[in-house]
Amino acid sequence: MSFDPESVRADFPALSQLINGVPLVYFDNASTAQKPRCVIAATVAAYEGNCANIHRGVHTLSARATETFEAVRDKVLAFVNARAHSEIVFTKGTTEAINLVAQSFGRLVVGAGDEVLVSELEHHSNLVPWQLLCAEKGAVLKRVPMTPSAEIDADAFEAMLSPRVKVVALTHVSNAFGTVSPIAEMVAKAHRFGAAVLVDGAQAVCHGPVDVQAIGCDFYCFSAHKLFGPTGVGVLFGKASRLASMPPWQGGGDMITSVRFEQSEFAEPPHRFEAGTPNIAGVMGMGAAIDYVSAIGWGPFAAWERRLLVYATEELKRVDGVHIFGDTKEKAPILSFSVDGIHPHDVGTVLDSEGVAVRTGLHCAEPAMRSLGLRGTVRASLAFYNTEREVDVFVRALRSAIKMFR
Amino acid sequence: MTPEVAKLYQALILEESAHPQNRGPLAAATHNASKHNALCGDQVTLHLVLEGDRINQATFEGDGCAMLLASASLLTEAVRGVPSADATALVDIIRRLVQPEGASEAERARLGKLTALEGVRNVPARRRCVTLPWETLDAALLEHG
Ligand SMILES: Cc1ncc(COP(=O)(O)O)c(C=O)c1O
Repeated sequence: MSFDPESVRADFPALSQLINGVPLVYFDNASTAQKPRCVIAATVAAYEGNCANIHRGVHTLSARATETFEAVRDKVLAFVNARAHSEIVFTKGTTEAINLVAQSFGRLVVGAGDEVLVSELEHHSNLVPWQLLCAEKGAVLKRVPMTPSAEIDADAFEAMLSPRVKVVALTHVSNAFGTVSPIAEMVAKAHRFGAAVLVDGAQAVCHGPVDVQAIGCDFYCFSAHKLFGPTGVGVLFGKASRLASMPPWQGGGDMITSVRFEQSEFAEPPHRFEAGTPNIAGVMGMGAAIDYVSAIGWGPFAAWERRLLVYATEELKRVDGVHIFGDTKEKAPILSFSVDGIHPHDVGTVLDSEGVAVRTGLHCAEPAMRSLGLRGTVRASLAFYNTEREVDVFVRALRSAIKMFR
Repeated sequence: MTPEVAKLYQALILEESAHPQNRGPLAAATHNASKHNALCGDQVTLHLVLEGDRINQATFEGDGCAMLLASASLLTEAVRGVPSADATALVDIIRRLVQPEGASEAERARLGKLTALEGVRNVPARRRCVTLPWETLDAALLEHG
């Protein structure tokens, strides 16, 4: 085995703490991932040594801050294989990136009677912005169904495409189940009908390489905090031609080239979409997070996650009364399951008392849960720093919960 | 398991949640209310028969975690035959019971079996599971039947 999780655990201060008197087993990585020291140090450095506003001053400190900040744009560009600097917009997260596209691009291209396709599997943040847009425009929001195995129904999707469809919004990896969408194929199909495609990559960027050119999408969104980076910062990738056509979303400093009292000229992308002082320290921390995962390399990283997922799935299946949803061949290390006769909340509380942090409930994906007839699940979401020993602790705690409630 | 969680799921709670009392519709209900916990999607509906100012009967519908079921089940037993003003007072006591400081000795003495619900005092993430049926009771009593 070329990758040993023990070799990286020391990088994450939060992992070594006791919870309720026992070592923390952090299996809630899909909610937010823990942060390595280098990320924490980068955000601290942004306040300690490099604290100045960006794109504004002629003084040395401001120039240094601006340079470090813009260098992160280059890192992100390489990280998702974008073509140009102008395609990388910093946002406060996935949610803001999606709202930006819905409010700027959506308002531009979606009219009364047009259609927006959204899958049933989406996180609420890739559904509600489209509901708002369609309500405003008198457009039709259409549900792309999911299969019983918690994947987007690709055949149904294809059948729904038509020239009326202006925007398609799909998740790359499901946060509720970990299932992976055949995203490049779906993008190609949508493009045949002239629809633009936004891909929600919040759960994808932390498990493997993302290549926006290979995917071919018009927009790709993610949050730094699920990628071992800080909260409050994220990325919108937009194809240069799309971003260039889009009006500003928010107005303010940094997004203009000249301002007269009556009207202003707007900056070119990406700055057109970055009004106001951004989360400078957050962007610096995101840069450090990208450096961190790049240094490990996706090969060893993904191989370990794969092994961990297979092990956890096998162990979980041996527990009586457990049903795993979205147990597909290719998936992210997310295990979403129910336990016969025990409510997810009660499972979660007992696991927590054994130091095991999982998420329980609807996972901000209520339509997906309903589609499978579920009122919620227990979700264990793993990261590369998790170990097989932790899986054992988790399964043992689960068995003790079951014993108590039976 | 921590002592806090063992106390949360004490025998009475496990028993009540496994075999909830007074669960189902109530055709003769004069007062009804529903509440829902956005965090988990759990929902509870309460049906009451009031005669004058007195609660003659109470049932609940809904599905949820063990804490919610036990709380709803104990509620329907506790309010039967009770004047509505006393039931409202009970809601206030339960609200205090689940806080870290807890209810006073005098208040606890009025609660009987309901003191089993105080296990959530030290498990804040689950407080709402216990209070949801009581919030629903409050709403049902405010409704002008
Ligand atoms: C698939 C998916 N989309 C969107 C989001 C929203 O991300 P954020 O809250 O960071 O904006 C999340 C995270 O909760 C997610 O898992």
